[in-house]
Amino acid sequence: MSDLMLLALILIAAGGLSGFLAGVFGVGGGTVVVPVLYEVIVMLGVPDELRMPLCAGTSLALIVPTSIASFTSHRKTDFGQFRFTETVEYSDHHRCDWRNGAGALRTRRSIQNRVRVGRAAHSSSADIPRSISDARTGRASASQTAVRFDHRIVRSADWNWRRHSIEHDHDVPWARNP
Amino acid sequence: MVSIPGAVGYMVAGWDRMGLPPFSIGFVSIAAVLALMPTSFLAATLGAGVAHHMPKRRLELYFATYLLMVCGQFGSSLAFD
Repeated sequence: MSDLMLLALILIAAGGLSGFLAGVFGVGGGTVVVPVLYEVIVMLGVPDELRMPLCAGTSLALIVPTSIASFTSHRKTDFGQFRFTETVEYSDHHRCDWRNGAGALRTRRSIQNRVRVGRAAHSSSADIPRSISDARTGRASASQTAVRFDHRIVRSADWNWRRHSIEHDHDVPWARNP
Repeated sequence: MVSIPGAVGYMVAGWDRMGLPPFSIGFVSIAAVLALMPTSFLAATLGAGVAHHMPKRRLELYFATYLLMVCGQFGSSLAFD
């Protein structure tokens, strides 16, 4: 009976470790499961020539549910973490410039090599942040990558939708008008 | 999902082998899978969360450490077996 308990404990620990590795690194837990099973199977009295294929087969079968769990969990968080940088430019003359900015962006996007996710950022001009500090304090709900003053881009930032904050707030040397 | 055909292959390959432990389909021990699955499932979810809360650099370093460990294990099994 205590042998069985030990067996169960070992298997639970091995399952946990392999699952954790699969979740963190995306590798199968085979590196953990196979050696553990190989030792455990001796207790069950399996002939030697069947040990290795049995371990490999069982490990493969185990990888299926584990990777599904890992995948679904990653997907859940990924949608938040994938930087949904909305590449919209703002200026003090919002309405017309917001269009101009969006147009200008299309060319700039290739330079920036950023992903633009279609999301209506602004329904009204009141939502448009005037500066990065506005967006930071939450006065504006909009995301932004570039803030324009007088048609000159001075700052750029990435909006992290998961943390709801700006990250990588930086100067945009390429956008500075000479 | 490479593992699905792999597992099926092992099931088929060991279909009528003698001496397999009970609750086995071919070379796949259903008992072992059922014993390992719940913790593995939960830990994978947890691990994915952990991976997302980690800076990329640190994750890379941990992965490198893990690979080195596996490497060392293989090396030692080559040397001392």
